Amino acid sequence: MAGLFKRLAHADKKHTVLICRGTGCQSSKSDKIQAALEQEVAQLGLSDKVKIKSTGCHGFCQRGPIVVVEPEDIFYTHVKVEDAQPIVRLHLRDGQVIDGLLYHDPLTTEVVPRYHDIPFYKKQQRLILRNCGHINPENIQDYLDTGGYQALRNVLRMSPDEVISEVKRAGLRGRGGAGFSTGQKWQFCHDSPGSQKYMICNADEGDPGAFMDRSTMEGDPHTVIEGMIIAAYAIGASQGYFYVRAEYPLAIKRLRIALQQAREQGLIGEHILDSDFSFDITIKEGAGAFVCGEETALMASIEGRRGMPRPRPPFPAQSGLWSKPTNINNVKTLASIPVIFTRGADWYSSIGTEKSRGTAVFALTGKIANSGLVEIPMGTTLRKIIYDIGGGIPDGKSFKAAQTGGPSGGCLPADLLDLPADYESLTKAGSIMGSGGLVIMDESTCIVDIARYFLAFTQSESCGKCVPCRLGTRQMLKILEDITKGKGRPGDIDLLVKLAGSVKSSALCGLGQTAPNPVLTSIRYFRDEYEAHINQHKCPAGVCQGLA
Amino acid sequence: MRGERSDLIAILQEVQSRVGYLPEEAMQRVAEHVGVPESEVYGVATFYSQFRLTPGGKSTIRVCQGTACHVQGGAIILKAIEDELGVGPGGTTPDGNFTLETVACLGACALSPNMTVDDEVYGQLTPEKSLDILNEIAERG
Amino acid sequence: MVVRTDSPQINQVRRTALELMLTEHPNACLTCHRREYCGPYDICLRNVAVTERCVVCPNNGHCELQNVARYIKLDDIRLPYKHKGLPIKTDDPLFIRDYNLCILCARCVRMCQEVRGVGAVDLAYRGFQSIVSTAFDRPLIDSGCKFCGACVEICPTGALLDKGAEGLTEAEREAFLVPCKHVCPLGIDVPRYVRFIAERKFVDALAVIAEKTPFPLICGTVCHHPCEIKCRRGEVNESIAIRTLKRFVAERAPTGGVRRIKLIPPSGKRVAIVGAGPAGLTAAYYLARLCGHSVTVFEELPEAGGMLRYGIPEYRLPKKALDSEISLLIDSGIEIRTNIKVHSLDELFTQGYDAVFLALGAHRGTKLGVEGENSPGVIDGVTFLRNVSLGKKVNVGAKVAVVGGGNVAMDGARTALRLGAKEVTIIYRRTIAEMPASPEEVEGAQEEGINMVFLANPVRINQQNSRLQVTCIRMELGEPDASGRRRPVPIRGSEFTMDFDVVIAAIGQVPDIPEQFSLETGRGNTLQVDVETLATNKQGVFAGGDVVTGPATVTEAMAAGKKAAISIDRFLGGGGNISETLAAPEEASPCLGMEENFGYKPRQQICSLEISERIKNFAQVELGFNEEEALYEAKRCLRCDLRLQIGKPKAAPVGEQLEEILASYAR
Repeated sequence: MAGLFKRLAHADKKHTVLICRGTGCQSSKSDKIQAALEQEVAQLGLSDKVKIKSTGCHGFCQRGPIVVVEPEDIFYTHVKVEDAQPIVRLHLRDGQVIDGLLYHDPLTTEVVPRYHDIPFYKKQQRLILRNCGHINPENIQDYLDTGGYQALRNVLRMSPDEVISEVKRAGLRGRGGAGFSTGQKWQFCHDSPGSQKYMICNADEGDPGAFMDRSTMEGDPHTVIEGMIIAAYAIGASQGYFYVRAEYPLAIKRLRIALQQAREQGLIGEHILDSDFSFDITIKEGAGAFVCGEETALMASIEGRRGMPRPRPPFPAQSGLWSKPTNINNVKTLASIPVIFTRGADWYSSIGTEKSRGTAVFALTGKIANSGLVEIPMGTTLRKIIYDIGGGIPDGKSFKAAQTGGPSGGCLPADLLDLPADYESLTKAGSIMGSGGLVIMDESTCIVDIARYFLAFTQSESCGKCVPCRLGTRQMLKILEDITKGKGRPGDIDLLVKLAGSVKSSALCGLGQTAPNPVLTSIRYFRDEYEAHINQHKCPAGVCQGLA
Repeated sequence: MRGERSDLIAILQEVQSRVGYLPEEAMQRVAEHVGVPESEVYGVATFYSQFRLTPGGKSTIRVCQGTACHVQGGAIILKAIEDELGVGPGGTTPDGNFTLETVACLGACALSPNMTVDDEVYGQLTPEKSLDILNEIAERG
Repeated sequence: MVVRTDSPQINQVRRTALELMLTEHPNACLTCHRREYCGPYDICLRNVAVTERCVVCPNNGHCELQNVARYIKLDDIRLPYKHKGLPIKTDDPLFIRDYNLCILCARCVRMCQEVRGVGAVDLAYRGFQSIVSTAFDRPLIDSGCKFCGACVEICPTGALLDKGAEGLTEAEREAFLVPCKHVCPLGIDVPRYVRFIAERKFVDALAVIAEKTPFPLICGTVCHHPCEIKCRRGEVNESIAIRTLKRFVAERAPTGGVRRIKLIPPSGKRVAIVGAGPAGLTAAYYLARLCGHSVTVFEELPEAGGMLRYGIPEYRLPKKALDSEISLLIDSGIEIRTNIKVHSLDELFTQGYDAVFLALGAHRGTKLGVEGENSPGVIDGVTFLRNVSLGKKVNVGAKVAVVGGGNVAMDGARTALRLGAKEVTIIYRRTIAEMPASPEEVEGAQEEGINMVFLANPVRINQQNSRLQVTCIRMELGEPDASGRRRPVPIRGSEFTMDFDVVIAAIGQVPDIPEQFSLETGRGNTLQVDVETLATNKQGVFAGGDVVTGPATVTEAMAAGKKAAISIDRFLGGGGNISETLAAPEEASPCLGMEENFGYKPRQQICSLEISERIKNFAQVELGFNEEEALYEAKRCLRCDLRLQIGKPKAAPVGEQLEEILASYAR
């Protein structure tokens, strides 16, 4: 495979070079690479033949910095600043692809030069992430050129009731984790009496291990904005809020720019596209509280209060932000909306399973060969995601567990690899779909430690309002810490299960209600690991310090 | 001229971004401006992890403790930095250069383990790499 | 929709929730069979540490946590308790805050923020680290706290407690928490009228006062204000000037403005009252207006008032004010016959009176008991003051000595000054700290330049030409006597002399009771009466005021008048009900609102005449409050009564009670 230079037919054709400027590649100085490319292009006098464009995240950060050359669809990985010169000279000027920068498939060790041939991408169905990596998120024209805001135009010709019916027909369910029918949710808010209504986009992607929302907002902010305007139209809201966590400064910046540009184009603000519908959006930043991903805590935060949830009913659709009817949707849910209104609800509902329609985005991370964002139709098996797309477990290790749903979910063992990824199947197995985090573990990961890790997380993020969450998870954590330190006692597993049951049934909000899930699933599927820790003072994965 | 209650968090964030932390007098003034009791401003400031009530170091290191980073050895990175700087999470080095904090997830999971120093993200860390980065920053001054 | 509140699953959840709470809160009291019955010296069966406060916990026996535990029949606790080691705040006035007992129910936060509108505390931090805290953990007084005590009232555990309220019964607790109302001899609803003043409802304020006394202005001028001494604001910084507020209302909204509507049909009974002082006039009012009896008051002196007119000088209680209050009595049909001395009680009964109330007061000055006390120029205090009030010309000369330390002494000294004395000296056998006179009177005397010689007592008076040579002996304080004050002991050989023109002896008074009355007397020549009924040993004859207690205060005499009215009415066959409602009942708004530096606001200074202006004449020295000052002062009130409006949580029904409820739902 050494030194294969491919000669290309149209060496003097016009090229577009896409540099990923997402957080991941940015951390590897992709801005410097872009500058170097621009300089080199200018120096060689190729400015009229080469267009250099920043794009958002491709969702394959592990291979970054990523540079894509159009129209040949060449995908360069691990690009460094020094590679700028060869790319411009050898590829753009001389038409030679640089082999050393191409993608190498970890399974077959084959070199795959074309973006769309790469199995990681080929096997995905990118709807939510359709534009990520292909357009400049800071230029609305790119979005418009791909047919952006056409969905909005279509919607403005319909009545809000028709819009809601269409979403219901498409079968879209909330991608934030709860999986509630989006159309039905919009219906509730639409039906609530009151002239002042609010629309909120929940961009507080707090699940550790999830970065789908971040990539979407950084790579294609307009698709989310468009979805939000459509949602606002359907429910009758005049004011909208993006609640973005503070840890995503780049996403906030891109959203600001996008909103500004959309305003200039008359797509947000008074009389959108010369219609009677007026709607504007403000960005609110989170301040470091995972619990603010919960609807009522999020609204409290927007109101300038401590982010402490409140009991429901009343639901936000009836009484939400400042007691007015409010609808809250996740970034990925809103990003799916324009697709529904351009390709049609029938087309959308043909993807996925009967109960879980459309596509879902997973953040595939951990012990996996191809780590990144994977968008697949609902119902795709975990095996396909992990092995066909993810490339399996590297370094010759074997699969131990797949964790879905973040701190609210659970670890699924190898014999559940053929489980379809949809709401019901995952819930039945004891986990949840969640926001879409999918962390892969091999034999060097201790499941008890993972359960302890998640419980420590929920404990530190607990708002403290209700006794089950504040104190119940604390007791459970103490027991788990004892177990991982070799101080576990017989009966601890049963005590954990009992406490978990009480916490689950009596906690005030989703954080507390789902905090015991990692513990319960890990006990369900990996009880032997617990027993090894408690009875033999052994950690089979060799992780827990002080244990054999 | 009064402020709106819903701007409270944004105001506190702005104050902190300028001063580096939330001084007591500033919070008093904010309470006055927004028209809420001081105890409520204090309650809000102590609820969110982002806010600090004591001054921090010149640079803030945030070591990611997210799931992917944890699985890829985030705890080892944290320990290495703790040992090197001699402070734990929440602490500031005696020379005032660094404040060490942990953060739940930076969203750069495919490049785990991660950390940020101020606004720069550093991925695919090893203990040695993370210490090199800190030394470089300290030298830069 | 069916709502189940009692299923095994729900009870399991309740149990677990309570057990979790108890991992943070001492709970030996819940599982020990002794529980609230442990005595202070009992040995603890379980070797419980002091930090678990079972027996020393003031809430033991009426703790809501205990109620819940009993309701769900908690009999054993599996998760261990660990003492939190958090601070116990005892430096704030009035309240103790023990973080170790807080279960984070946040009722106090909701009460302070949402109900009271103050927001001194809020939840701080997050999750397991949460606490209820003031901003930056500052003291309460620096956090906008208004010390209304609502948070303490609703705290279900002992985390918030009232300082000094340990072991009080329910009734004692109310008296402890709202001391002003309970220590007032007349039982005036102080917090209520102060609140009305703060709300600028001056007529309503007057109505509240008038419900308990016919003499609001007199009380507001000369009452010895036991309420102010007990006022809980005094623990925060300075007590409320309650008396002056009362005076403000009485002057601002004249008593005539309060419409007393209760119409009582005449009873046909006649009551004779001997003495038109505060006790007599008060009894007269109630017996006539609220009991329907025909009342005649016999007064020996030319005008009604008793000590109010003939004891308290003009510069303290102007006669004009006194006249206006008494005139209302006369307007309501009470007959006052002055210049008549009653010699025989039987005579009164013969004349057709059905009962007699003796309110003779104590007007006979105690003799000094020294050689030369009968020299010309040596006057007894009450006689001196009476003569001045009668308009008689009294010559005080240039140098006056006043022996004594009570209000009569102060009144005598300051009156002498106003009559032209150049130098007035008070001689008192103890120190200033033990003087029984009101602090304001002592201060007034000092401000007016009256000398005070302490720890000295006259032993002999010699007449030298037209001057009096008073030989005094120095004293030192020894062991306490019956009144609790240290007994003065003469120092041998320490005699010294001072020259005066006039010596006023104001060392005490005793009642002057005609022997013909044939009544039982006791110590200090006072009348012996039944404590409850004020009845003397003679059927139909009652007594109250100074004649029973010895020299006391105006308000106490008035209270005795009320007590006598009740008793006499009952004696005459009535119900003894002298209560009247003059201010429509209403519930106070629970919202207090934020106020900057509330706890630091000092007491409003009471305007007085310039010192140079005072001694020239008998003009009233204290000028009272104007409206602005009254509003300011009234708003300083802590509203201690407001917390009693908060309803008590219903105790969970257990046992029989519960069975009854369930039975009523059985099909």
